[in-house]
Amino acid sequence: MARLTDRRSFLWTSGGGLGGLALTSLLDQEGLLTGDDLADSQVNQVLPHRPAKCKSVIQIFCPGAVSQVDTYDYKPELEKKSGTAFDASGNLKFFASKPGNLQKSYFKFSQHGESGRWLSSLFPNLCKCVDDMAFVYSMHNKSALHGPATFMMNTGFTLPGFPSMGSWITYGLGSENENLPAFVVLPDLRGVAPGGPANWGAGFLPAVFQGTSIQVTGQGPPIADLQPPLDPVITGAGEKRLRSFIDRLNKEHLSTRLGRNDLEARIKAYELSARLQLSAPEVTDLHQETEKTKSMYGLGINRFESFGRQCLMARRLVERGVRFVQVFCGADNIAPPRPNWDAHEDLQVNHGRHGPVLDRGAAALIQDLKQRGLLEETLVICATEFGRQPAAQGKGRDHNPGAFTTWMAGGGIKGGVSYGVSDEIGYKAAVNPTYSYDLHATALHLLGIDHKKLTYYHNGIQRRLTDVHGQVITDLVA
Amino acid sequence: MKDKPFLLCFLIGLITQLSGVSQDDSLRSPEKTRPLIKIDFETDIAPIFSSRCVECHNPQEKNGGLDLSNSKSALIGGESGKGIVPHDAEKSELWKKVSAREMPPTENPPLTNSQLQKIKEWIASGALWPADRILDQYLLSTPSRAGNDWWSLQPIVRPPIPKRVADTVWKNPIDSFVGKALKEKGLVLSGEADRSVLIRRLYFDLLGLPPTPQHLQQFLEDTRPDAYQRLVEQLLSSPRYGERWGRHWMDIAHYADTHGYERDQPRHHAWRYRDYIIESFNHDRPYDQFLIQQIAGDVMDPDNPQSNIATGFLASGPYDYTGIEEALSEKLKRQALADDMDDLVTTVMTSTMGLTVNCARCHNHKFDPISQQDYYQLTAVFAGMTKQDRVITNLDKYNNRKKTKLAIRSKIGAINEELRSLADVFDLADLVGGGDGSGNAPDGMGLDPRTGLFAKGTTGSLEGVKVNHFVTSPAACIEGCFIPDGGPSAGLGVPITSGGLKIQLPKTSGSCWDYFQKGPCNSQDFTELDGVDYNGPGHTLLSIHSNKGITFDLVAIRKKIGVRNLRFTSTMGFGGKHAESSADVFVFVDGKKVLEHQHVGRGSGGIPIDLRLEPQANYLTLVVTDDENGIGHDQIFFGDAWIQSVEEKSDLEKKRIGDLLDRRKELQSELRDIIEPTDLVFAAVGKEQPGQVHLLSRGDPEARAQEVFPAGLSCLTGLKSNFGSGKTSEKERRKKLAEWIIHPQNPLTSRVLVNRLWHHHFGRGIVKTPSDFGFLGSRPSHPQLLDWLAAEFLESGWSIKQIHRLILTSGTYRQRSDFNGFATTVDSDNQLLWRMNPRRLDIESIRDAILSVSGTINLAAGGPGYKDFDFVDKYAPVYKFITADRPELWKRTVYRFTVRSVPNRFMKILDCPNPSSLTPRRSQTTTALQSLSLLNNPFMIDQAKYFANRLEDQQPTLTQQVDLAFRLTFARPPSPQELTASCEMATENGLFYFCRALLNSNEFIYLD
Repeated sequence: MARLTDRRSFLWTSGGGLGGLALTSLLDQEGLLTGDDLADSQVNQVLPHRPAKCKSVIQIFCPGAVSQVDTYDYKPELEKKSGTAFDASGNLKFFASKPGNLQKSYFKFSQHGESGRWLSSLFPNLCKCVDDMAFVYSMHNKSALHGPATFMMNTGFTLPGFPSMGSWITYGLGSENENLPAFVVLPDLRGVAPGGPANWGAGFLPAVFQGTSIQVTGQGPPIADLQPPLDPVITGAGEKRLRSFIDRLNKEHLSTRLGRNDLEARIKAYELSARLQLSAPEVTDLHQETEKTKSMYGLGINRFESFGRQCLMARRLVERGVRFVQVFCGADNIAPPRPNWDAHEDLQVNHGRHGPVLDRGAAALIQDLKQRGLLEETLVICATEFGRQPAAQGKGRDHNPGAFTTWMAGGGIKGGVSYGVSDEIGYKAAVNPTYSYDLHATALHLLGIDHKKLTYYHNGIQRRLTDVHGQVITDLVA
Repeated sequence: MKDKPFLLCFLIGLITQLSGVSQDDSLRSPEKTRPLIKIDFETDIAPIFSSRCVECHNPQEKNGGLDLSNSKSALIGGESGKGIVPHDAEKSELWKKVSAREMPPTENPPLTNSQLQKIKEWIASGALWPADRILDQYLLSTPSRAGNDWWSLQPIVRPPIPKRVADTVWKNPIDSFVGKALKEKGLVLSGEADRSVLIRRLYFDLLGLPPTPQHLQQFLEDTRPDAYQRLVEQLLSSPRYGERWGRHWMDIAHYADTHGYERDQPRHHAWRYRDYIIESFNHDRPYDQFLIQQIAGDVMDPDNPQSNIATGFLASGPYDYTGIEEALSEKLKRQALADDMDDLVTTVMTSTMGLTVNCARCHNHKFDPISQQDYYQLTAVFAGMTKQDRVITNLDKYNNRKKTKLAIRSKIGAINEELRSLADVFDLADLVGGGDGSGNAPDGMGLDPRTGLFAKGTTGSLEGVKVNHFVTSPAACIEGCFIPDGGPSAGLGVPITSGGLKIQLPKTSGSCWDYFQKGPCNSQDFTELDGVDYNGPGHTLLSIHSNKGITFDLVAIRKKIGVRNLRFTSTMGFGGKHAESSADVFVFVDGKKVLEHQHVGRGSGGIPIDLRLEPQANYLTLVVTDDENGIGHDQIFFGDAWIQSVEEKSDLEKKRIGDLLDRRKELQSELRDIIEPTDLVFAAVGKEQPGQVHLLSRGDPEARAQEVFPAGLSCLTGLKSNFGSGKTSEKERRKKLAEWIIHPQNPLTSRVLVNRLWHHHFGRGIVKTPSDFGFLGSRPSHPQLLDWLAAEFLESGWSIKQIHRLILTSGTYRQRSDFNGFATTVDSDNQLLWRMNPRRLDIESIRDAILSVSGTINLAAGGPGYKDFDFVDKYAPVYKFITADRPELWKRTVYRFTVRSVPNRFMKILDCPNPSSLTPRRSQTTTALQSLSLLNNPFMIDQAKYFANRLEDQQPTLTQQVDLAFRLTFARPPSPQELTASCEMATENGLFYFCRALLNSNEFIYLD
């Protein structure tokens, strides 16, 4: 990426941006960005800071909070103590309840792969991938509330208004395909995650770095406003003429205004939008996939269909050079049955519903990426906002910000390994407690970015994704 | 070009008097080494220590155990030994460390050789340091941080106006300042722009709207010498002005109409504060008053509604309802409250004084002279304040309104009475809402199936549920209710009356969600069946989310109605969203099943019910169970669940019933009109005597350190910043802060405001970071001009319009924006303002301009925000945006009901900032998604059609239509070539396509 010294060329590259312009697009067409800013600010950086191990990221996010003790984090001690009191004093209060007795996993754990990693019976397919996966068992979060905790996992802050990881990364690296958005979000069909689109928002970064939501239903346009609405006044010939007439107006307007790169950029953006009208339907058209591939993702089976499409789409997107894809496996709390992992009422029913969905899609994604040789350059992260309590809340479990598990695969991550340990019952992170900061620092590191150097000035502070924290988890880096 | 920081010389002239020197004899043993040069502590040493050492070696933060802020502790030293050994540098740890270049740490610039020399000689000469001389780390600015001598903290001194540049026609002092700076680089101002450019610039700048063709024509034809000044005055007095400039203030107050976070609830009464802002700008409310009202209006003038509304400022940011009000854990609450406080303090200080105090939350500010102590003293100012709806009406008005409401209510009561006697319609939904069956249930009440009692609202899943346990209800016509599970636990059956009458039911999950509710329950998605919305006027809705049963007392109901032969009629259906979920519905009379519908789901539609209730029947029981697939989305509801007489009515009676229903509707709407402006505003409420406030180590609410008391920032040394003690009342604290902020000796408040005005007029401030006048902010491009404007501002009595006038009538503002090759090579960024900055419209202006050009704009001002979304009230409320296709949604964009959690996509893509972010300056991007939105969004398609219709309505021929279109969009007529090309295009593809093209053109979106 070129050093930003030439304002003119910088505005040229900014022209279009489907979010593909990266750092260089620290643009400000109003001329606000001046020598001063350039000197004091992030644009002095040359990216990548170091050779990158991977090119793109697929983040699977499971809103509602996945129970670590029923999925990834095997706790024999919890099994032994199951049924005994968790808090003899009776003083402890969780988010929505007082703790019940300790409750062992609702699903049986067993060891898998050469690495012998433990997984519960919820994941019959993922267990075949463990030798490609790295687990962080000692995640914790600063908040026990879905909204703020989800913000933290996605933006590094519990408050709204901060840029998401995908925004930071595209701000840093741009896209490899200028006909597609650099940062794509594949939302759960049932709704958005707690906190809403702020989880893929650009915060105070320019809006160009926000995630673009793509519909995976296969019906209707994949991107909003990609085409005009159905209307008798709209004609094919009219659309063509419209574009050429706008172009003519704009070029005449430009001809009397020398040195106006901002106007040229806007002309280019219209040209790009025409290309996007072709490229977006192409990437979302799953008919090109073989039956074998489709069935691997569970397409055609009702309960796997939706998340399977999201995962398959994610692969197609990174294949085409999209930098960051965020896939949601769950939505906000609306009403029971909760369309997410927030298993307050009945964990067996809830995780029994969502586990196999995640399992089928995520395992297919890892295997598919691998067989196409894409796994090495694609980092897959599977995250949630916090864990669930080892003590019971009726048949369910309450929120537990003290310990949860996140896994990664591909993109320069060692397979079959783990980092950090939760205590013997999975209540608190015991060894190497890890906030989102280290996870984010590691992801940036694999992409060739030094998390301390990817900064943006906002209201008095050179802001970072990792705030003033963060260490690369080198144990997990291949 | 990089600005140089204004490092003001700090002169301390007096030589230390011996009488003030430390009593420690070792500090002055005269017979040791003689100094080569005379070293003075105050002039030579204190600046080095305070700017390079004390930041990490002070009483609070003793790195290595060393405190270098006073002579005593400096002598004692730290972990590695004695800090200073007078007369013996080599034995002094201080000297060892600095001479070995270990200190200051290597990431900082090293000390210069002459500084080292001075330190060495000072120690050698006996290290004289007066005992009472305590060094302040913030005294002086350094290359890496600002001190109390930072440029923006210095008093405003009105600078002399530079001599007019010889070759200019402009007489405005601004032009002298700008002209002088330009001249030094061999540049001059560009000439005055054309009138059509000027009027468009002025209109968008001051009103955020395009000039109408009539106004354009008038201005072009106005030959009076002061035509321009007249236009400025005319626009400044337009009510549209406040709508434009109020929006700028809303950006830095981060105003929105919802709380944000997970439970993003609407704030129905926030808009009054928005209207207050707009009105303040329109009436040119003096800025000092504007600020004092927003921070302490309720204290200064409690009887004035406007002063109370103004405190909406303190509540305008996001609010973590779940964390602050719902969480059970006290620790979580403390964290949420600390975050909320941080947002409040940050908002007040950055918006008024441009200081980033938030950086001192976890540690002392790394770049500005603001300590953690300063930060927490500010939090003490707001410690007793909460954010909530507050009543702002005066009591008389409030009472009058109450009386009127009562009168209308009693009329409605009489009608209900007569209706009951005539129609005998008795509403079961009204019963569970706490009414008497006539429709008088209060809003929001429901019946708790666990207790049989009425209670406000619902929270979703019910805890402490006891299945198959009948609870009697104290309500007259309700026997009681129960939560059924027909599985083994039911034994002989599920009891449905207090007498123990039992029925057989299927097995259920045994859990229960929501109360019996009049109207939709908490989580319900649909209220309509077969095209009838049972939540709409003229209908009623009884919601029973599974698993629940309720038994009504028919004897009591009969007594109320006075009729023996009754029917139960209703339309029943499924209100949930999910197809996979379904419920079973049963109706029993005296324990006998009279109706059963299994697997009622979204696809079942409306199921009509018409049951005859024999005169001897005692109990009517409605039961909803979960179909054994979880309670899920089983929001069953009964539309118009009415008990009525079986007898047919006469025509006369029917007519009377119809009339009464109409009259009741009228009265109800009258009532609504009165209720609507419940004079509330979401604002600050001083709640109580504030509790103790502590400094929080590392910003952690669990790590309380020393107690702090309300105070302002200590870096403004010229101002008294003590606001009281721990006993000072909540109100007094805010009042003191407000007075401190608007004190004429506070140099920041006026500088920051005039810079904001400049920023919006030129697209860039004299200081380019309008909310950061600290070290990381930028330095002023025209420091003297900034101070001159600030002085003018104070002298005008804080009149914002006066500063507008000064700026707008300057030649600097009236310049052309044309390219100039030579000037570009000298000053490519136009920092010196050799031309006007060409600019793109912001999203509010774009949207308002589109509405204005198409002729659809609705200029109705003020009032509740227009809601361009469908709202579903749930635990986490849902906002689904819709296309703005009717007049009430075509109000100016400033009146948009702004939702925090979900941005309006169209607005967001066009760079509308996140309303939870403080936005002193908007960023602009140019993307292909923007092009798609402006090309294809249904709103744009609609507006292009209206635009085309307008042209056809107003002009007979195509040529004239094209001419009008150009004047409307570009404030100029088309050139002959443009006219030809446009007519050709419009002929072949239709006027609609031509209009759509204009709305997408660069000329429409940009200002010269």
